[in-house]
Amino acid sequence: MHQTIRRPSGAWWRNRIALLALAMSLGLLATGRATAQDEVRVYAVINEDDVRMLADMFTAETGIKVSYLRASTGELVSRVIAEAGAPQADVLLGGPSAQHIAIEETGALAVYHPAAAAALPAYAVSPEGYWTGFYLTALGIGVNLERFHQLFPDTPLPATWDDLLNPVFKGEIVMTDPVSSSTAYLFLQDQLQRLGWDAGWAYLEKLAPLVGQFPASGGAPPQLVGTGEYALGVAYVHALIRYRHDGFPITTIVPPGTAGEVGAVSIIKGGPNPDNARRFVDFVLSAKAEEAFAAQSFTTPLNPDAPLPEGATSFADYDYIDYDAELAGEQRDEVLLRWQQVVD
Amino acid sequence: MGLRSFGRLWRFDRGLLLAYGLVALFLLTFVVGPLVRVALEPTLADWRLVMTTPRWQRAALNTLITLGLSTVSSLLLGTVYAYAVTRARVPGARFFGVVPLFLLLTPPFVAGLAFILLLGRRGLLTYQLLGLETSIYGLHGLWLAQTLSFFPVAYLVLRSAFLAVDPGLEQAARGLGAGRGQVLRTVTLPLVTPGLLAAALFISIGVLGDFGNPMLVGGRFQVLATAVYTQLTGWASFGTSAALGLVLLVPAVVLFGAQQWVQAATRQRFATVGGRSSSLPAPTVAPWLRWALFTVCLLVTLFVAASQGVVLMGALTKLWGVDFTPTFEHAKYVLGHVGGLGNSLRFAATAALVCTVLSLLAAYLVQRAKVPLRRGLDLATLLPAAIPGTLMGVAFVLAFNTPPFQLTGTAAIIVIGMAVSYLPVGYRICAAAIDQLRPSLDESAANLGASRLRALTSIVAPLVRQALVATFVFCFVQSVGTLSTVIFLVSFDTPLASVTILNLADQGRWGRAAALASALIIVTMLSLALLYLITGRSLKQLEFSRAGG
Repeated sequence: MHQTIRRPSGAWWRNRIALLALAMSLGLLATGRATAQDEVRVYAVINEDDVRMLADMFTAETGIKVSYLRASTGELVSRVIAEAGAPQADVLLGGPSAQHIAIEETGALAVYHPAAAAALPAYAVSPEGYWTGFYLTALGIGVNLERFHQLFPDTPLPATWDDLLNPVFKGEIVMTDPVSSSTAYLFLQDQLQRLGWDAGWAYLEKLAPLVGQFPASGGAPPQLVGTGEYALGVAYVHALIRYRHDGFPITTIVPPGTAGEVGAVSIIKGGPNPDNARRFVDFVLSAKAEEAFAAQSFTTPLNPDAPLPEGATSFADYDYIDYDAELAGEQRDEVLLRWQQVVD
Repeated sequence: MGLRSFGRLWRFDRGLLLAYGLVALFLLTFVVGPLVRVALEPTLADWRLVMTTPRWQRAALNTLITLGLSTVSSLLLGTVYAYAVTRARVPGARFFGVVPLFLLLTPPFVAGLAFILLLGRRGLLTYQLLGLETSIYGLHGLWLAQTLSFFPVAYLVLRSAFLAVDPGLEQAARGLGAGRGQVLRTVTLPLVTPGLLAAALFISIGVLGDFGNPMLVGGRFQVLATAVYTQLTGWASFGTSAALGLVLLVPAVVLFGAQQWVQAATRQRFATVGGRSSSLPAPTVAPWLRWALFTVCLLVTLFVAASQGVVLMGALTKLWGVDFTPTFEHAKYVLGHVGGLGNSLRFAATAALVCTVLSLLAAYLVQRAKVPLRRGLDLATLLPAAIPGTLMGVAFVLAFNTPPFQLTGTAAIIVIGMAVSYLPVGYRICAAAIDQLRPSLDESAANLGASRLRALTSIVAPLVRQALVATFVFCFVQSVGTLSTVIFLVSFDTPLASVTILNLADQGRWGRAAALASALIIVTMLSLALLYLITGRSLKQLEFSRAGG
């Protein structure tokens, strides 16, 4: 009880040692930024199974290690732009060309003209060399057959975009918020471009009140339709096909006058491994890689030498509008602003 | 005034000044710095857009509505639950006391999926069992989801507060003839007022910044936090998302001010932890109340069990909710991704340690040491809770992407992001506990020649050890499952289980997401059990030596 107080005491030393250990611990944590060896670093919008397959093929062919970080389109776009001063990644793989264009506008992409681009259609290549398309997909309507037939036994499946305006579907349609999703923005532009500006907005203003919810994530509509929470959803056809392939009771309808979307790859300006980035892009655009990717992702390859997977329907066979991607990009701010006025 | 205070500190207590400097430096660098970065993003056009768009005006109103509803319901449930397991000692109290941790542990998106699978239009409970065709999407579903998400916070804070109440005071009141209800209303609840205020503040601010729940079950009922996320991840509209995020700071500061005012008005009446602790047991509660409380605990536990059961089912069946064929393929996937699990645990433990030390130091500096600018210190510890995690994460990237603080891509930025995210709660837990200490305790130590820092480590910290453990546990559990802050901070060499789970769910790989979530929950609970064994033994030794002394 009666102890002489003297300094420094054991407690004092223990405190200092604890603080020192803490500082050392934080210091060790800070060594995470490793020096790259022969490597390429990829931000991947495409699914993890798909990027892992491409990475393994590329490494087997070149010996170059592939590190990838998979995330949603929006998250990776934000990340690339935020990191522009000191990029961590070399390549942005996948996602619609519109998003690559959006990043290009901020100056965060490098210029590269891959040899394979020469054989691609004009709509699948950036003329300035900022991005190149490697797959094609399209917008479609996903239907949960069980829920649809239970709720609407006497109504035929919607076959056209205009069929979605049936008031009986109120609360049973799910579509991503166009503000946060390039998929849904493509849908807006599809209606505006196929119907014209005024008639297009009339369509959208009629459809919006019928939609049950506008989730923020592009992956949500196929999930919500797949599990039977909603009867109808607007999504990419390849995503809907994959959910059906997994076992969900979804059927996919591709209405006439739909819009196609080019999935692209681009090189990030100032990335740590620019040479390997170019080699990786060349690989992704090769017939071999595109064939393997298409077989697993249910998309259509753009390389004319890549065969279509057995039993698959080419997206090129759908009834498309003549989609103007440049116009869509120019109108984006105006369209999304008006959408946010129209939809509460 | 300021300089004189610093001079006095330097002469009498260099240790305290050093602690003050470290805390201030940390807060300036990792809280104020990123916030300033956020504040610099919006242009005048962004502000005009935010203020005039009807969608966001409605989102602001919706945010206030959920703020009120969810705060009250979470606080009520958390208080009742904490009272049940601490004072009322319902049957199975020890077991029930652990249950809320499972809710904290489950990663947001998996919790959301479980919620939908149980209570959705095709939910196991709603549709399959009860035949209901109800929709959980909207304000009502969000309210329920937020109550279940945030009541564990109230529970942890109130649990510490109830345990710190001196049973002698309650027994004295009973001895003077007060009935059970009167003791509860006039003695017990007033004594835990600091805890109630702290919990209310943090819940309300957590609700402000919550985006996981609104995203999954909000439906078309949009709040500002989801608007921040959609602006940020849609087309990288940093300016607009920053402006929306800053709007959330206004109610946060208002709430902070209100809490400070109420706490200052009531502080002197409630300091109770004195020189001699009582060994008297707490008064018993009426049998009917005891069983009513037991029922509440049981219902919460059943829901938690159902949620965990659904997640486990997803991990072990072929297709969650569709094809119930048993399979181990999802578990095999987890075995190939143990790196992320290890990172999540290691980073969370480090963040919890940082958070606990900072919380104790900051709480002591503000509550007892009367250092200069202590109100600013108090406010700075709170602000991270008001900014949606996604925006804070991007702010970290913008602030620390280039020298002199180049941390992007490192583990340190994740650890610091986690610690900053949960500092508001940890700090409040410690502050509430210190607030219940009689000031004479550490003043006596100072009069005997001990430094303030010595008083802190030798007297104050042992007395508030329950709060320190609660802070560590809370920060650790939350950090393991956290998503919004770290989603932009993970990198090629620093994967986290929680972000992988989100990715898997986003790709429709629910079996793998459920398997990884199950593994995360199991490993984290094992870690907590280990922590309990270690700290339990230490606490027993401490008790023994005190009794002997």
